[in-house]
Amino acid sequence: MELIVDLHIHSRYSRATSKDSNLEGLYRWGKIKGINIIGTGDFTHPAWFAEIQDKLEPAEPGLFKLRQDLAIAIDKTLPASIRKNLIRFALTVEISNIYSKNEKVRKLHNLVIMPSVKAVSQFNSALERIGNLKADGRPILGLDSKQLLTLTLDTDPSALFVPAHIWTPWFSMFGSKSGFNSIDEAFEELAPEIKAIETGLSSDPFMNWRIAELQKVTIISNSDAHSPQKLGREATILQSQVDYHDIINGIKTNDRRIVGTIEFFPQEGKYHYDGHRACNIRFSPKQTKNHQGLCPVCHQSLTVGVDNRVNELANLAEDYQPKRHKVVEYIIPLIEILAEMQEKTTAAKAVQTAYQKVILDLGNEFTILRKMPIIEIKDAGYEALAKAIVRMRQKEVHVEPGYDGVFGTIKLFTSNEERKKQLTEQIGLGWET
Amino acid sequence: MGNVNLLSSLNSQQQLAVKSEASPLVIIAGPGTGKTKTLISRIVYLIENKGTRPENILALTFTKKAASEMQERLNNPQNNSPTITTFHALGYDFLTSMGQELSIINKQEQQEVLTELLQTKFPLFKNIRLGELSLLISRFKNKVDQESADQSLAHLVAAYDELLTSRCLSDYDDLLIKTYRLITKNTRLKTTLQDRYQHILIDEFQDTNHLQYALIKNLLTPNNHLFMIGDPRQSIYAFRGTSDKMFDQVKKDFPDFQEVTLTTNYRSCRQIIDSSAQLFPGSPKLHASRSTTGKVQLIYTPHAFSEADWIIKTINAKIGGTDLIQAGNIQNNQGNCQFSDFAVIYRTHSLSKPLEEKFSQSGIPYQLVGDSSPYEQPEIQLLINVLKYLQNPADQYLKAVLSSPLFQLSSKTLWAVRVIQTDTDYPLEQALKTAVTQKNITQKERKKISQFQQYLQKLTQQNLPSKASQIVAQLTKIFQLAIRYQNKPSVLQNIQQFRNTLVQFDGIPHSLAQAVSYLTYLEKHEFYDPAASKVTLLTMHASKGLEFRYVFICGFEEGIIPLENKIIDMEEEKRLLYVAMTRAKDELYLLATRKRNGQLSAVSRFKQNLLTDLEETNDEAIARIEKKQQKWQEKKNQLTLL
Repeated sequence: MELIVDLHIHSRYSRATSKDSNLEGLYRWGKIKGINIIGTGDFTHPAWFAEIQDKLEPAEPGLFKLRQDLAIAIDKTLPASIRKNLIRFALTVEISNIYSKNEKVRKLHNLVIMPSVKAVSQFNSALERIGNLKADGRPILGLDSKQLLTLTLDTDPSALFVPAHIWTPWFSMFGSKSGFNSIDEAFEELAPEIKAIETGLSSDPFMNWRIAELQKVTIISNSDAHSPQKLGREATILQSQVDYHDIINGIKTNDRRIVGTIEFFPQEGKYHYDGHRACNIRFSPKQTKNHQGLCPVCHQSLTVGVDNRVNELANLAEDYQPKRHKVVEYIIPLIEILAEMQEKTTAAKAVQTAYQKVILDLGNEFTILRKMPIIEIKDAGYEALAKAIVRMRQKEVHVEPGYDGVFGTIKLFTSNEERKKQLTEQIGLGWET
Repeated sequence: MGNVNLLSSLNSQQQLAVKSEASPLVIIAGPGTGKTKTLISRIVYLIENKGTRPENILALTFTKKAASEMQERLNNPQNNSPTITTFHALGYDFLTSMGQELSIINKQEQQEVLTELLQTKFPLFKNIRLGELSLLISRFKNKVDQESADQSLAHLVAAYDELLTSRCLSDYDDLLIKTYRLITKNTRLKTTLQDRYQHILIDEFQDTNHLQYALIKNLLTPNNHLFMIGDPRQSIYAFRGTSDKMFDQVKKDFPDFQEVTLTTNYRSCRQIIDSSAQLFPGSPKLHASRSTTGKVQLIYTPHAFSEADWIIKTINAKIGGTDLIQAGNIQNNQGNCQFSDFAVIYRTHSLSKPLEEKFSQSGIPYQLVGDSSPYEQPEIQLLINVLKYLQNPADQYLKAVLSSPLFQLSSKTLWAVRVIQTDTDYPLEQALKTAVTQKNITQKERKKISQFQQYLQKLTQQNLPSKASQIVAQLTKIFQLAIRYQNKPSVLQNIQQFRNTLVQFDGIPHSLAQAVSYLTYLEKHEFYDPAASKVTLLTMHASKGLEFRYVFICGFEEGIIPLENKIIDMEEEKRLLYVAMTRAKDELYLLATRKRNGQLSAVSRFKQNLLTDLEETNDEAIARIEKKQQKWQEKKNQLTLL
């Protein structure tokens, strides 16, 4: 069956996360969003791991489900339209490896997925003597990523190791600030053990395929959500059984089980373009080149974004597309579409209410955004929304790329006038001002 | 090591130190001048160039840690290697090879002996803490010339020795004394040793005491070579009876000596060398081999916690941020450091508490070295000793288990058990059986012994798992540690962590043996794992011989540096600070708080020595706190007006 998978998330035990990042919250929002397999995140944290063992119970091989009493209690509060969605958990963690290699400091974030509580216990035990696991759900280890990879596979060969959001400047395998230039450079003779990479919000598969080395690995996408509401900002689509091993083998082999990924428009990511947040400078790679990489305001070197870094490492042209490739779907989170339609922020009460109503009437978010026939949305009385979704599906969007930690903006409409013109024909939407 | 390369990698002073045939040869080797390298090179040179047989070489180090490190660096095949050992181990090996059966008294037993003596014959010493008294006795015993000493102390030591002898016990000092006596009395023996050890090399000579020196003098003939290397300015063990004057003594005793001073410091940047040298005005200075200036800074912070915060913030900045927010805010974070490049050094362990708390919250990997190391805690010591006992059921390990504070046996009882053993020659288990029937042991204590016997029975009867971590889990059950420490989560966590540490040996054959050998290795290195990529937290004493790119010295305050004690040996305190400062390769930070433990604190008097070009800054936290206090004061004033 088709499974929507999001393996990279954080619990409330990670820094800068929402208090609601607990298993119940993930379960609830997984149903709202339409995600089937959710990573637990943070399994190295002793308190979170204890919570995992308490609140989850084994389901299909290698997968876990929320304890029945907890699940029933939550289901009661959910609309019938989404109540039946399947939710399973996989045991995952993100680790921050900070170390020095070849005379340079390296900071890589790596995702580790494990098939059993036993494997996790053993893995955690090994890490405990290396680092300080209590302080942060995403622990910092002064350990070479390559050694972490060895440790992962030694613990359990069916575990999966994925370099996370590989293009972000500060903490990633290809990051401009403290990364490497190739998988070989980072993992040496173990490079073939890297079977998959994560795109991160600021890059999409097409950008990644410009690097020949990355055409040989599976490209997966995850949300890196720090609160359950952000689940599924990006995700991977699989056609597989509900079984850890089937999913992971799919990812390891990149075979037909991998359908493709659901992507942010990469420009919306925080590090797509170059620039300086503090100096209000946003540059395209070309502009950066014209300024010799320096900020015209403070004259320090600019934070080089993903677009630039991809150009630097790419062996293939900017417009290159593989002849055959996996599905790449772009989405804008439903709440953002609704907010733009109402000219309000995503936190506005009216927007939140509208979101709830849409979910209640139409079902989970991914189905609405990706699959639901437009006519059905219209027929349910959401004519304006239907139009907005058409534009999104046809990629008719206006972008202001993100840079140096500032999210980019994706607009369906360039101006108020356009928005009105496009949407005026519709009638009867109570929440449209 | 090819010897051509070996010699060409040395500077001219080091070469001289390696090749010189003068004896005694005194090498003054300040921090970072390549002391160990020179010493090892000389051993290699003697063997490879001069045809000296390895067994004719004796190298003596001050600590077991140094001896093992030197052996590792020399990396010679076992069957053909020089003797590299400590003075005490040399004495022990020598005496046992002479057929002596040695039983070394442990700390509890010694305390019991002392208590007994104080109660019966020596009430005069009652006001002295037992630990201190033990040091007094040790210092006394290590003096060659004992006539000038205090007569009452001499009597106490005599009585103490007598008691030990009557029980066939020795303390560590006896190892040296007995060796010394044997050698001075027995000329044939002396000649054998003199013939054997043609080359004697002493590391950290400034830490040698008079007895050790006298022992070595006895091994010398005009044909033997004595090589001493060390640094009088790094003599930091006066409390154990060593003295920075040892070098002068040698020069007096052997007017023919040759002295070589190594003057190039390869470790530290110029600023660090210059600044630390100012502690000893007028003394010859070291030259920096490195061209970088480096940095020495004095930072004032409000209190111990802000001190820890400042250190963590600085480490984060050097690493370039450990999370996204920090990384984005830190400019120029292209440094190349790792966690093992940093050390936080303090005068006493009591300063480590707030540091540990803050480091633990920060997520930065760190290791504590020495007494406050998690391995040194009683619960872990017990587990380690049981593991050793399981691996090798010898009395010495069982005795260590028995002495664990966990079983709460009084030192009197332990002593009584010892008496039974010496009287009857029973193994410990048998001696315990006798002990429970003895009337001179209180009923309460006998009950404790029975309890211990029950544990022991369980231990030997149960089928223990083969994997090390599972054995620990089983031991936790057998000794009921979970119940015993149910109100001490930190202890339970420590046990869990210890168990986790051993998981690495689970998958391999001889899991227990491997685990024990790893633990023994750590023990030899005072539980400092140099390979770990972690920030190191340690005392000044423990920092000796180590080096780090960035060093933070905490508590640069009066009362701490120099340590406020009944007797302050100001010169010794200064040397300690010197040792700590010279651990730094690139940057050195001295931290002083405004208030510690609620008391106002004043910056260390040694600041006067360092004054020239010492950069002083205030932690931003000071301004923040002052502002808060000001606001509060204003508010308070307003209230009074109303």
